[in-house]
Amino acid sequence: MAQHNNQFMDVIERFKESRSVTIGATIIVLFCLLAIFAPQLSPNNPTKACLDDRLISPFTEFRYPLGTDHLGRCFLSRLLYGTRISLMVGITVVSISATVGIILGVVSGYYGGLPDALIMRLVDATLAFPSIFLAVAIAGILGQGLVSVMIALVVVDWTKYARVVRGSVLSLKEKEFIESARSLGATDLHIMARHILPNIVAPIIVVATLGMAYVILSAAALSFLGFGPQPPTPEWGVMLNAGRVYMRTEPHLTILPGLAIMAMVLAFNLLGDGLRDILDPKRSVIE
Amino acid sequence: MNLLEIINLTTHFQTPDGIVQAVDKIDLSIREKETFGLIGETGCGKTVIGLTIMRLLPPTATVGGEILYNGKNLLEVSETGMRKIRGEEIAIILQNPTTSLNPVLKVGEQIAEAIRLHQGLNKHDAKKKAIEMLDSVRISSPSRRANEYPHKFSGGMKQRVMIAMGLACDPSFIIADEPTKGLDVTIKAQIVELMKEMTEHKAMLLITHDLGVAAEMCDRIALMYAGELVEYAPLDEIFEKPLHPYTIGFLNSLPKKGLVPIPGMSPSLINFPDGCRFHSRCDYATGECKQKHPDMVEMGNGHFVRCFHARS
Amino acid sequence: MLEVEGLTKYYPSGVIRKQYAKAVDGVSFKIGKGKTLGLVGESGCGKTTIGRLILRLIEPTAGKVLFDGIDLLALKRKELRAIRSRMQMIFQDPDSSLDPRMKIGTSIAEPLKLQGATPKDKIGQKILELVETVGLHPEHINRYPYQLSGGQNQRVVLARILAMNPDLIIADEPTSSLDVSVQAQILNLMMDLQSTFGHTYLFITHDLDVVRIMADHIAVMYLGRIVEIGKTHDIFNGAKHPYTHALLSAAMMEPAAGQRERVILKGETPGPTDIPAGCRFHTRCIRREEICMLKDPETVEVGDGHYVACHFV
Repeated sequence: MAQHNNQFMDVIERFKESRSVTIGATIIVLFCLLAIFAPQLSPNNPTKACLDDRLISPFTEFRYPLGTDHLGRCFLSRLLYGTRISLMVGITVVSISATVGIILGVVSGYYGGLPDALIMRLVDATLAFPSIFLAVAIAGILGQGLVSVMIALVVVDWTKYARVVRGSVLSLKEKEFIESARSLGATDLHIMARHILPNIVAPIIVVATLGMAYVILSAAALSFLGFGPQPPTPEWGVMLNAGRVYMRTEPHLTILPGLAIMAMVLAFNLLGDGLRDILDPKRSVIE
Repeated sequence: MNLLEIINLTTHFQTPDGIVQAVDKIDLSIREKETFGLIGETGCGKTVIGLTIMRLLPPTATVGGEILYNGKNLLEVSETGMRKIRGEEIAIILQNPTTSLNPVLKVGEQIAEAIRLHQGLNKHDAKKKAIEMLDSVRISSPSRRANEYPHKFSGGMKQRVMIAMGLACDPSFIIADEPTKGLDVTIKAQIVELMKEMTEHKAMLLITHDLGVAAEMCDRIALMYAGELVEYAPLDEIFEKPLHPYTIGFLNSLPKKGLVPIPGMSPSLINFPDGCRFHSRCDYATGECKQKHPDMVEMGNGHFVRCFHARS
Repeated sequence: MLEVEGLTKYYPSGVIRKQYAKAVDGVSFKIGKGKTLGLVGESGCGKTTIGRLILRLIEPTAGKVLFDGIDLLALKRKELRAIRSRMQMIFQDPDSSLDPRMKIGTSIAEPLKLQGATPKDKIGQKILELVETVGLHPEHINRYPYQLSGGQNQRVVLARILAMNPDLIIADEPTSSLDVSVQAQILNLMMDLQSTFGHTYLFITHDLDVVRIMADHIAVMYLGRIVEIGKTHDIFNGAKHPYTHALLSAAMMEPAAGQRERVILKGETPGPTDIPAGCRFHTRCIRREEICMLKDPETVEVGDGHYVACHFV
């Protein structure tokens, strides 16, 4: 057993060992940088149409490194700004649904009984709806747009966290140190915050990372189907849909956003799987 | 005549933190029909000896020395040859019956499987033999119980099943690794009684931390500390004339003998202290003990001890 | 100090036909201040449940628990939390008794902070004191539980308990996962602490040899009920219940024990859902007669504070 006096350093050590974590994390950091510096990196305004420059192929004109779309908008700039939107959707949806899911999951697992039954039935009921169907309904009520897509995703996504957290809490609750804290006279809130939460961080991180991939993909899919943001927003799913018409003549309009979605989803999946191995309780340190 | 002779046996494990020297230059011989007790505390390497004999170690292990079984070096036998020896000539009874039994197979089938592997009986005969085995370990209504799944069996009954499985192919040598661990005292007494009876004509290596169980069953006893044997002798000698300070400390720390603790804790198997491995916890340690590593010496009566001061 | 009367815990079981698992079935005993009661029994006899019932970590079905004259079962949640600091529990597995994510120092500081009696700037010093009292080194404070051995972790548990300055300590098999030489260290430490701080112990174990040394009184449990209770000396030298006899003779040791007459019980302990009618021990008893199958024996006093539940005393 490594005698680092710091669990954190131990985990960092293992990060370096795992190839999938390294690759996944590198791609994600890259995407984040692109998203942050999108205004500086973009050669043109991503939403400004220039009908004289329609459908330019990539690598043919210096002004438009990756060409233009059917309205003459700079495709590179649109892709860069699309990174922002995808990451923003992913982070927002995951953090809201994780927060809701963790709170409900902890309450459900810790108290059991009626609260548990209510929350878990709610989870079951939610999962019985196909998320597309929900998105259609929400878009119908709130109108199409990014917010509708995010709400639709949160409504379904929190259940995942609630389930995972509840399971971890149930097994944790049996541990003597929880009983010991109770017999020290600790309040329920103290026990949940100081003893339970820190001990379920590992599975939550894994679920959240894999959840990012799922959310980004779903958001793109919903946008592709037209429930999401409307043109001229540079969203990858929207771009993919717009490029569909020109697939034969200008394939880059579909291939490039497709590749972008794939790369980001793959990166999060790699990171998530790698983290799962690293944070596996059987590898001690973090249990 | 010695059935099993272990010469200079070393088992090391490669781990990220260094080499774990679980078994370090051990010499040991077990006679026919003898029960030999290997006593030691958690992490002294005693379980590894059993696994080394059976060649059931993970690939990170490196083994040196010789294990002569009926004059044949088990470390040189091919994997196919070893598979034949396992169960048929040497059987192991593992310490955790709850996880050692497959929960989705009927108890009878699990015993029958072992029998069919080695004795070439057909399904029907193997089943019959399995029921006989259950009967011999005193499981009541064996033909009905053979068709039940392990979760219907209590801890003590599961241990009986493990014994039945180990003895199913009539091996001549048995390795029992903590066969009474986790059992209640009254059940433990039953299992000890049963094992004494079932292994009367067989040689056995009993690996345990429980001196009481060893006292009931063994002819000779060895104490293991930090990867090596520190003392071995006939049973009575160990109890009446223990020579190694660790043995003395071990006996005195038993509740019956006054609960006098040994100070400190066992060294890790990665870094042994210089000199005698016990010196930092020993009341009799001198300068010599800190520098030189003592050898095993015979004190007469088949009593061996690894200590510079055993004679005084 | 502690008085338990008719303590009972039934767990409902069975979906269609309501059945009850009688984990603890009318248990009564008393422990004097600064004394130790050893509660002995095999797995599933309900001894662990008793410890948790007294602390009200689980709610009893019936009975009374008087702690220093206060009826614990009548207390409200808030009052209970206040009084819990005076009763502490040591669990069997030291490794799961400590939060794996808390450093040893933080773990020991937790009770001090919860209690709030120690000023903030004194906490560090108090931790050092406690660590020393239980025989650990100051450098252990910054370690995590997984970096310590089982024995050391049990010392940390003791330090946490001392931080609460309790009157009653319930020890549930505190050494059964430890090696004998370490067990001796921990038990000695517990005895030292008792003589220094005057703790009252309820010592729950399956090991008769251990209670012989630790306890002033011994209660032997079988299937949710105490079958014999008395002074340690009386139990070891004049046990009256056949189950106590069997336990005593099953505790093996030394080669010479082979010659002694041994009582080996037949069969297994029935589960708490199907407790035999009549005397609950009759299915395994060597002295069984007809009356045992029909009538549950009364608990009778056979000597000074020595009670037995058997028809043949």
